[in-house]
Amino acid sequence: MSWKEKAAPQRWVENFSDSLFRYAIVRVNDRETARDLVQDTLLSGLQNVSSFRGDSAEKTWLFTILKNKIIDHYRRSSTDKIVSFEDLDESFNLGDYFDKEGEWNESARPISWTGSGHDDYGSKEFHEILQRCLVRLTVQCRAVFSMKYLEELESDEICKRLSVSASNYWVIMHRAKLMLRRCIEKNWIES
Amino acid sequence: MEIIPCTQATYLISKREERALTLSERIQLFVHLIICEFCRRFLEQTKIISKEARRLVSEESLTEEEKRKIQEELDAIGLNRRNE
Repeated sequence: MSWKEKAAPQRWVENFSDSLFRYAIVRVNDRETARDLVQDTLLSGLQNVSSFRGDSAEKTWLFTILKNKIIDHYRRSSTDKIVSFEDLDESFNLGDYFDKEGEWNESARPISWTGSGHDDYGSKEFHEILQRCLVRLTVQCRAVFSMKYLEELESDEICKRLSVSASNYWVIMHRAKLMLRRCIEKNWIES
Repeated sequence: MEIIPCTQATYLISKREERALTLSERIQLFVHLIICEFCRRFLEQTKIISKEARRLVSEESLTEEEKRKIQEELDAIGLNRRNE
């Protein structure tokens, strides 16, 4: 073990707390929660420091712990508010988007985002709007969307960890995208 | 073949992003997209959203005070471990 990297917990706060915090805050969107997650991560790192083998960098190892804590956080916050993922959130109304025939309501039709000077999707402004719209999703949609596109987990893994059936997973993902797209359009194009 | 409605098409579009369509769903969606510009926009725009979601970053930092508190928590555990 001597040639491998050794953990140096005394320098964790100094070296890694800010990057762990930035990673967390984008995903949980709440300063206090993000700070608690960083603290939990470092504490559990310290308690399990003997299992750090030095096969990966210390930073990678701590990020692995943080990622698991974030997924636990999604699971907890989504099951706090609903009995299970088999009970789809009733506050969502497909009729806000489509008419009885399943065609787009006139007010909900996607408008073109190009040619209006609004195609700098990598910009800070676009990312801020996306972030704000993510927060406004229902808890169910936010958990599923974040695990897929921020944590980049496979859908079957997400179903397993949230105890949601594959068919409900697709329904929730569909809702998340309908809501997100419209929220972004309102704030990015129409404003 | 019957043309699927936009509800179904947008549902399939979000499945398509994860390469989860069957052959007949792919065909149904393909035909729908030929005739529906709104769903074509939905497809393009949700693609942008998923791509940018992966790239979200924050510029916020912990304050010195917050760092000090975390350090205290860590120190407390460290002391307990040494005393065990």
